[in-house]
Amino acid sequence: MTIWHEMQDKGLILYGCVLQNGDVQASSFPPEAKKQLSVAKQALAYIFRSVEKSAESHDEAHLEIGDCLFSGFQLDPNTLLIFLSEHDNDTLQIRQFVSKNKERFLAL
Amino acid sequence: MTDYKVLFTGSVCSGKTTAIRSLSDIETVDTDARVSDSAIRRKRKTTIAMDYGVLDLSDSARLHLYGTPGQERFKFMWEVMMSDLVHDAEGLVLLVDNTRNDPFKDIRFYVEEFRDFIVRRRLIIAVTHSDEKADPDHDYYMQELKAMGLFTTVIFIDARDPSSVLKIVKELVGQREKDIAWPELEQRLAVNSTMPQASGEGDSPAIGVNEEVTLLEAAMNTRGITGAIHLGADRKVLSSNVSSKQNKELLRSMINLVTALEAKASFLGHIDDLVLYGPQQETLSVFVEEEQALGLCSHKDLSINVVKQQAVDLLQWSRR
Repeated sequence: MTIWHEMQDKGLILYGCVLQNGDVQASSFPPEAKKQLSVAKQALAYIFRSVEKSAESHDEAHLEIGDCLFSGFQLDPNTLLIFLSEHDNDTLQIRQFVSKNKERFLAL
Repeated sequence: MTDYKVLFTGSVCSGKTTAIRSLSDIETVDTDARVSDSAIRRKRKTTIAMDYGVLDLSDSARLHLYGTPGQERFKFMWEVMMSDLVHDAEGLVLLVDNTRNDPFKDIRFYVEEFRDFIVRRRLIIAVTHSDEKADPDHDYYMQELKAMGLFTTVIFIDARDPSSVLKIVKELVGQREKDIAWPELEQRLAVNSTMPQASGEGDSPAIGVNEEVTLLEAAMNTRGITGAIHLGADRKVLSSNVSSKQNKELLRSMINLVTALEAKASFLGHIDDLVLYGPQQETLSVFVEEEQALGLCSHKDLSINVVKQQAVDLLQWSRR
């Protein structure tokens, strides 16, 4: 079972993706969610670039848009983890899962 | 003696406490405390546990009036009341503030929260504050509720006027209690009126013009919120008390991002909020509307749902 399936089974996310320097390293986004992934990549990359400039160390962002919740986790300076989930999902549970499984995501 | 019970619920400032005071023959029991969040812009005090009053309908019938607290953070009281105090109530009166951005969102929320309770009881929707905002009107409510699958009674009332609130009681028990002398009852309750022309003062200590609370002051009235920035339609800063320059810049970047996304990714729907967390940092969140935008800094441990609720209220009441 992949880490994406594990998260889906727990009801945490619909799809997930790991970006390495902006390129997709691993993803469970299906072709029909391509547009959503594109929006999430651009939006979350922009927000973390702004964080970098500000010298703050926020490393997690959530964007609630329509029925979707896009979540981004800056795992290290080059690696961004992106999730798409339903808008009313519990972000605290997603955060806890990511925190416990950070190394697994980085190894993808 | 037949004892009836009715439960009043609805959003903050929808008029629950006022309606119960209008109807009660006894000094109502209330549990008001100083408002400790953004509702400070509408009133100084709010119900934190429950309201209770009694109305003698006739020599043989009495109506017990219960009111829930409006704020979601006192929601545990709703459960306590439904399962114990009012488990045998005749009905639920859902007060809907007509000045809310989307009164139907409130209706959907409360119907969902009280779903099991309503299944076995009458639901009456009582629309308040229509003197401040007339739309949506009665026909629109009926049409929308029908579309939502809710076939219920909608009554427009002024919670300050006992004769107006009595319409709910008539609807609830009028068919079963034929001996009620309605004109006498109305006359007796007239002393409870808090209509401006009757007593010269409002019930709920509404904020007067001279003591208007600003959006920033209201935001800072919520424990855990440490700063706020308010922007206009042109995304220029109207007011701000965010002390950290970095946080201020980040909030502005977030607002710009949301504004740009609203245009580019409109196919996904409206952007409700964008939130930024850090392990040791303050949480930054932005809420963007066409007319205005709000950015909030909050303590990292403050629940984002509390922040969201405060932001919704702040933005709504700042537009009025």
